[in-house]
Amino acid sequence: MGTLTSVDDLGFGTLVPRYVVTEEPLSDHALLQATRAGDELAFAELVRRYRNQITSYIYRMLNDYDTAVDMAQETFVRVYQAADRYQTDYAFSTYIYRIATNLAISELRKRKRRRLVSLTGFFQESEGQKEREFNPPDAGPLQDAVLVDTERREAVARAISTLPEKYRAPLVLRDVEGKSYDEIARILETSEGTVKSRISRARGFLREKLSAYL
Amino acid sequence: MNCKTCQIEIEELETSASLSDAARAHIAACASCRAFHDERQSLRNLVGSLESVSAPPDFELRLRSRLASSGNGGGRSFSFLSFLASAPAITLAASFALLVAGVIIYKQVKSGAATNQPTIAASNSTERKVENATASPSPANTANARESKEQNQPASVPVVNKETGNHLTARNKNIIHSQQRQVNSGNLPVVSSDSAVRPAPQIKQGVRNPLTVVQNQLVELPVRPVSQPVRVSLGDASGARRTVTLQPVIFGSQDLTGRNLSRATSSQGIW
Repeated sequence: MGTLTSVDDLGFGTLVPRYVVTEEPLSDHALLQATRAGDELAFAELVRRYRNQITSYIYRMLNDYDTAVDMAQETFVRVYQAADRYQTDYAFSTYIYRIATNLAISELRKRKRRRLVSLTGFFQESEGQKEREFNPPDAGPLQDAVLVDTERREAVARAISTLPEKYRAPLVLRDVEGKSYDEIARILETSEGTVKSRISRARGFLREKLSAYL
Repeated sequence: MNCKTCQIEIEELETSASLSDAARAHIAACASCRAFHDERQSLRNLVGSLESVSAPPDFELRLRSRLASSGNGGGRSFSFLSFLASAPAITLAASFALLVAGVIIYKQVKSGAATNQPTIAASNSTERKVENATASPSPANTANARESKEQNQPASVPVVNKETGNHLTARNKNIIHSQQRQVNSGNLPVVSSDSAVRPAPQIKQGVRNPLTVVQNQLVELPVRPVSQPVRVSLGDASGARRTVTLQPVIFGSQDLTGRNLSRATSSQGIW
């Protein structure tokens, strides 16, 4: 019995076209224009493209998953409601990250006003104070390398969450999200030089906090 | 290249870019810049090792409901029709509930209109009677009657037979409520007067008066609004007379006149 190499080998007597129609994925701009015209499927596609990125970014900013999800949803609500006013001068990702950043920063300021004490708050230092290290790296050998990784990541996340907001956003955008300086400057609506300076300061803070892991 | 320039280049290095040849040569020769480079590199790796979190599975569902709920306040309104189309059971149940509520409200409005119509008609008829009821035109009565005409305010005071007191009370409430509805609808001006300044009008029932009291039958005497006390004299064929003073009774919306009218409760009179 021979090997089937093609559907024609099935011998149904009908010719099966050998070409496949591939759909070019629509750009973010096109999707937003379609959303503006009332196409909800286009908006659903935008949500599908950016929901994880935005949730992850806000999570790194707030270090609180539930609030991050809530803020991410609010970001999409604002994108939807302001679709008519969207300008195509710059990338859609810049636009949506700017909204997410503003929401995250305003949430951080709200928390600061309320003096919200979260569970992780006990492990966070206020600005200018020496960090209390509650999870020092164990000098002894650990059996499970996963535990080490988890501990290290938690320490990094906590260290980031203690950064002042003006340093936190550019650092997360740069070193976690991998954005370019130019795009970060547009997201934060500031100059590229300011962004570079703030990232350098943020790394300096992190270096002090994470010296045990470096 | 000096150390400062080299460290700036290390610091601002884009993710995908690599150091220039001059910087690489400097790092190879300078121990402090090499340490700086290694430290920054490990810090980037450490921060970059953070795993990205994912949105929850019900993210879109929650977003959809959020968009639907914020549709009224926002610049764009989320199409609720697509949501209804995706939930036909809810749509059907809501439509049925709306239909039933609509039928009930329609029936109530229809029955309410049917019961109110005779009362209003009776009230209008009493308006005509008030002109005829002024049988002895004293100057005060004439002025009051003219004023009543000008103000176009129908009012009625029931004459009570001893046996029919209870029936009269309920009927009287209906009449006054219908008058208040007319006043509230803006057809009539709200007027009240102080009986301490001007005496209450007297309505005398004469022989030629069209208002003849039949036994056990309600007779409505139109007078000025209920803000004034009303004296009603009743006489029978044997000449016995009885005078009844009816104190004004204030009902809720009449407080809008802004006057400090004395309130009479049900315990103060036969009302």
